[in-house]
Amino acid sequence: MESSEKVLLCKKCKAKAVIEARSDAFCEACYIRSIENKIRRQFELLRPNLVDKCSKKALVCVSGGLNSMAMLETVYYLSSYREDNYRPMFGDLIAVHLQLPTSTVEEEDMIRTVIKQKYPKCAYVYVSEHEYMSQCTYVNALGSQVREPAVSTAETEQTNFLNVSSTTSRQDLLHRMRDRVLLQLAHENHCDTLVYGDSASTLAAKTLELVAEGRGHAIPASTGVCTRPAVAPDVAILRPLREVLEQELRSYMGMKGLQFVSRELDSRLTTMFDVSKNYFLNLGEQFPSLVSTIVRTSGKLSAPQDGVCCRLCLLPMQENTHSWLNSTTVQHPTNLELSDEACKQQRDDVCYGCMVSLGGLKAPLAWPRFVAKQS
Amino acid sequence: MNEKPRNKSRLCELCNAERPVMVRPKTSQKICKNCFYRVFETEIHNVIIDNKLFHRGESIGIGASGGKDSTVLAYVMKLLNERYDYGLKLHLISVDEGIRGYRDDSLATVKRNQQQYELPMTIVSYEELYDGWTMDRIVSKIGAKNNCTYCGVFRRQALDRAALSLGIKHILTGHNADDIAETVLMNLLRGDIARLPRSTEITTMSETSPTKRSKPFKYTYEKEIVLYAHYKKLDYFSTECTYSPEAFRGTARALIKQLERLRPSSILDIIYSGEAMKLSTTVQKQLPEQKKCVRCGFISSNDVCKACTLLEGLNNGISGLGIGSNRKARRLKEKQSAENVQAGETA
Repeated sequence: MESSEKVLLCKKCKAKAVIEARSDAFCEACYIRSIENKIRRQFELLRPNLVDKCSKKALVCVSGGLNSMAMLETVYYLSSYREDNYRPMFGDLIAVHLQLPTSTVEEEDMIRTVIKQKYPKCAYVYVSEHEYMSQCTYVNALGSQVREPAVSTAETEQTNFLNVSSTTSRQDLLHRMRDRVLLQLAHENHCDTLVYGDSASTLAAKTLELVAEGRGHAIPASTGVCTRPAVAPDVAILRPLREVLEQELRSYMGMKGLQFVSRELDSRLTTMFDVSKNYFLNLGEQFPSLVSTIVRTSGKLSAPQDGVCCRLCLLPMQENTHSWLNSTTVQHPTNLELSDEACKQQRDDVCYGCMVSLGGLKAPLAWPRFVAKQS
Repeated sequence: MNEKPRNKSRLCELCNAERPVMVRPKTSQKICKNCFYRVFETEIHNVIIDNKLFHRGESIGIGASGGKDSTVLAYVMKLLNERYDYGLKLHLISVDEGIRGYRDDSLATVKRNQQQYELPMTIVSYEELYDGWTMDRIVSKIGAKNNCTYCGVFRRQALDRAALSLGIKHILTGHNADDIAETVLMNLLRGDIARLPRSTEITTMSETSPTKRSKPFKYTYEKEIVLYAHYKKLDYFSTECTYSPEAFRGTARALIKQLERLRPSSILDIIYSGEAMKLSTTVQKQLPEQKKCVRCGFISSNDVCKACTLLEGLNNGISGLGIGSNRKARRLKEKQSAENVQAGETA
């Protein structure tokens, strides 16, 4: 008698399947190979964008999470450190972990241990908040640069992001600052690539987040698979995991026994990024191709060349920010135009998203300085 | 000295004179009724002036459905036309889709608005324009699924036809900021790259169409429209359509409500992003051109416009024609031809 339960067979080797992903069934070995091939194929597609079709020095952003640890595994495999790699894509590697208000000591310990054991030749740098804030300016709610407030340095550092009124603005500014610091580090260390571990799920949520924050202009620069920032065109920013979903990475990491820090979404969604992530999680079953559709759509957008960049987030911006906002929202007692003094205070080199996030700032915010070295 | 902080929290944030009656959804300010009227109307006036929507002496058609958006639109347009002397001739245009129990009640609301505002009004119906096909008949034939596609396509062309017969070259619709933000998100989520740049334009027009459309409420929040109608005691109809299932649009709307709860300005932020998003040049070259339908002469992206295609499907009994891809339409036509041949042989 045949069993009523149907046994899934692996799509490639016809052995018993242990996982079903995107309507295909795989055994463990074939699944690992398919994910790795998908990631490495994306890396190969990036080669023509690099000088001499390889990267002499790469800065790898590691937060300890699922995406960055999976990305580190592949980057190390493609580096010249391994003897079995006949065509390395990366020369030297520097793994960087930033101390952020959201990071913990356990994360840093885990990253250090994993790199020492599994990726011994990769350099690892832990950058504390004190280090990347050693040169900083202060901005007020209007985006203007102001003098350093007369409080002690320790107090300023501890309370820096608590001055931002809402959690959404806090996370937005934190993301912009993190990207800015990483770009500065890559520039300082003469790295020609900066590798992010954003998966397709992360890029889709990030696209929605940018749209909801008024940063539609910055979508190509923030989610493109290979972008070069206008302020530092010698650094290529790579996002090679853009074809892989987060659930797929989770299965992959579990099968390979690799370590990562698991971060669950808070049940109360307090930031735009969390709302976007939760949206894709909930809809993932009804509309399975939603994530890949939005990632592909963001790939078709473009920003103007030689456009203006925001002084704070270094992303492309539109010009008419203040006049647009003043005409669409009347917030003043009289119909008269803003006074001349108020107009002068409003900067025209701060983008819409940063201006909205800075609104409601209670005290000046410390912002890291970006120094573009002359080559 | 101690009284000042207490007084500030009790007075309107804009005029500091009257007691606040509401928290403004757009900015979270506590303001009084008169200040709300003024900022609401001034913002719409700013939109009209900044975008140069009208010129003096122009005839304007207002798409009136009896709902809150079109009712407030008619009221505010009449008010601003008199206050700022735009010199416009306003005309209400209503479309009767033929949904019993829903549209006849909403049209009664539009007729009452016509009398209150003293504006001329014209009603066109699907039954007259589309060979007797009312929405009731369409739904009984094709079922509830996809019927919104028929209704939306037919209504859009019905407004164009009514405007043409009245000699009107400009139509206003009551799309508000929530609708436009929702459209931006939906086009992004569905990968509808052709519609993405067009979804945020305040005026849509082309050489092939004699009528242009504008959305004066583009930056006006839906909540504020409801509050304005409430305080002004405007008469409007608020029942939902009986035939509209809301699957995917509902998810985008729920997402927008979640984002708005976190940051009140996110609806405007989404619209700003929609205006900022540009297609890359390689994608732009692949987009279809706007041209005229060979049958009815109205605007179309193909040789035959969507309304004529849907109408042909209804008349010939090919359900699903015009919905989906062109390959599917070709297959449906071949199937229909085969059935006709068999019917001929039987006779």
